[in-house]
Amino acid sequence: MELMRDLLDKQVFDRRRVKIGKVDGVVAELRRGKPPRIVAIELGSITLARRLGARPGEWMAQLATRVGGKRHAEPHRIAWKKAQDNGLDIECDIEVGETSIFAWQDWLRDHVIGRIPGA
Amino acid sequence: MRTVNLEHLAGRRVLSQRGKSIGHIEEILAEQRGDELVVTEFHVGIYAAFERLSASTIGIAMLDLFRLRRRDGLYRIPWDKLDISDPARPRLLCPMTELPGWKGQKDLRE
Amino acid sequence: MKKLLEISLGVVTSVGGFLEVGSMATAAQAGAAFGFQLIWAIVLGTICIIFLVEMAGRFAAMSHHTISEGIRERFGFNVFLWPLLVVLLVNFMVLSAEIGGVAIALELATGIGFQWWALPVALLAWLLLWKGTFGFIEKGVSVLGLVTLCFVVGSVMLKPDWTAVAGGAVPSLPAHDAINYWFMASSILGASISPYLFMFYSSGAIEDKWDESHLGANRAIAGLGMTFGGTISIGVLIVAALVLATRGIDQVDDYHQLPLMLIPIFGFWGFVLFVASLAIACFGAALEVGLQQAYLVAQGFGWTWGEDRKPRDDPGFSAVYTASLFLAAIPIVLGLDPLRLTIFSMAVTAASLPLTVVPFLFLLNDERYVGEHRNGIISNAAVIFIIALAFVLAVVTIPLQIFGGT
Repeated sequence: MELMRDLLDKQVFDRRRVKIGKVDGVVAELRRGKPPRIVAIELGSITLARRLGARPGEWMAQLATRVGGKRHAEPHRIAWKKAQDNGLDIECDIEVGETSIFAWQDWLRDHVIGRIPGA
Repeated sequence: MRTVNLEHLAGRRVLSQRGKSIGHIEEILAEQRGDELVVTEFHVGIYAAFERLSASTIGIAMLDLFRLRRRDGLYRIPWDKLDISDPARPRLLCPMTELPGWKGQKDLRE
Repeated sequence: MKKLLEISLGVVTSVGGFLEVGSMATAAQAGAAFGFQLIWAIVLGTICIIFLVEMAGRFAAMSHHTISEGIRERFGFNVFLWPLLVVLLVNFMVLSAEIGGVAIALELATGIGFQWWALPVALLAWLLLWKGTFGFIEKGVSVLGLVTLCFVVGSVMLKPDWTAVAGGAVPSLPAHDAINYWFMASSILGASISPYLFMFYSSGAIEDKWDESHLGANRAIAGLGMTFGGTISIGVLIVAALVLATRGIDQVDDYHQLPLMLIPIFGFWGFVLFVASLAIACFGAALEVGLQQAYLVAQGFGWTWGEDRKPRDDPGFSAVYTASLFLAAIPIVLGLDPLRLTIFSMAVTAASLPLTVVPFLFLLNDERYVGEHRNGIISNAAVIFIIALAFVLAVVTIPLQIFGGT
């Protein structure tokens, strides 16, 4: 597998074929004497901001904390063993509702979109 | 567990032990070994991200036209010869004299 | 039979995409100032957009991904950021111009200033996106859009010298005002080759659930649809050339001059037809551009998206088109001249083309996305030509605007 071509930036679906985001980051474990092991994929604005630089990453983490609380200061990770390469996409054996990946969308729905009639 | 985010390696300049630039990381190869997916090679070429652009014959033709791709291929550096603990500053872990042994064409078959 | 119906609807859909305030304004200005001489620019623009739209549709049908998704996935986020930001900005200006176009039409019809119409227009567009489905919007705009055929009918009724018209389809050098001539040529190209058009088309292909079996229909819709829009634009140009120029109006810099075009042909109904055509074409375009802003952001970041879904099921997507529409109305509310904004936004569109057209060369040749339906020699040659044209436009358009534009 070529990680940049086949994994990074690909669309991620959950168990129910719900679009949950793109593979914004790939996490590898560094081990002595053994090759680095892919352990997780990362999703979310913090991961993306970090790709633009350390400073944007910090700002985004601060923003997320200020808006959502401490638990949102870290990016969302999905364990690699739950992920499967599906050709052009990545399917994950998780339920997005059990993660906080959609926290901001839920907030948007509850406080803005949902309040407009006809939603 | 010490972890790094591999996306930060994309397009980064690779320095030799003496601080000389040997190219940019264009791709990271991983292999399934048992139930683990492990990094096996780093592909280092002259320009960042051009390997992503070359995965099609037109792309390659255009790159060759503008001499943006090294004809003799990339360096395929084994995982244990690159220090990626600071992904923004990958460093070669061996002398540059070993590099020619790792020259190779990217596998063009999709 | 069903495929035929699908194709005819697809063809007419080009009205909201191809024919909108940009193509109407640039065609009218070109006709008034240079007669038939700039027809070649519309022809060239139409041919280019046919290729791009066909490719966008083929890409979506084969890979079930849109062009925007393809750009992010294939080139990575850091590269994608550039077309993302530039296209968002350009689309914002175009959306503003379209809302302005509808507002002008309503001012012409009612006498109430266009500034007052901007928010109601944005509100109506938003309501349709909020409650409507993709199919309803697509079909509604298409059917209503048929009114723009009045320009084609009008141009025929004026009995132009058809050999002179054909002559205009061949590029020629201007006899006067060279800078203005080339500026108009580049604006016409910017109006024809709009990124939102082919991006919206590929999103639409996914909304309509296209697959490999739609490739033939895709070619027909791309070819006939864009030709349909291009023909109407040429109709606008011919009418402007024969009506405005002969009345001494060789510079269209006030939109009040525009309805004059159809009155000599149709009398009072000419006024009605013009206003209706302008309003419907621009409103359709406003819906498309507004949606495309949301598509671009949602697809770029991997969110759930879809016009057929209830807004609460894709809050990010709905929030983007809602914000886009109301923000874009603001310049018009503040009184920015819609005609000037239109010409400017067409020039900026032309200048931004390389960012969105270069990816086609890679995406449409990538087997992993389009399988065995990669570009053939002709399509690739067309893309390379369009990329070269895009770079030329990127370099010359802004200077031309500064030195020669309105």
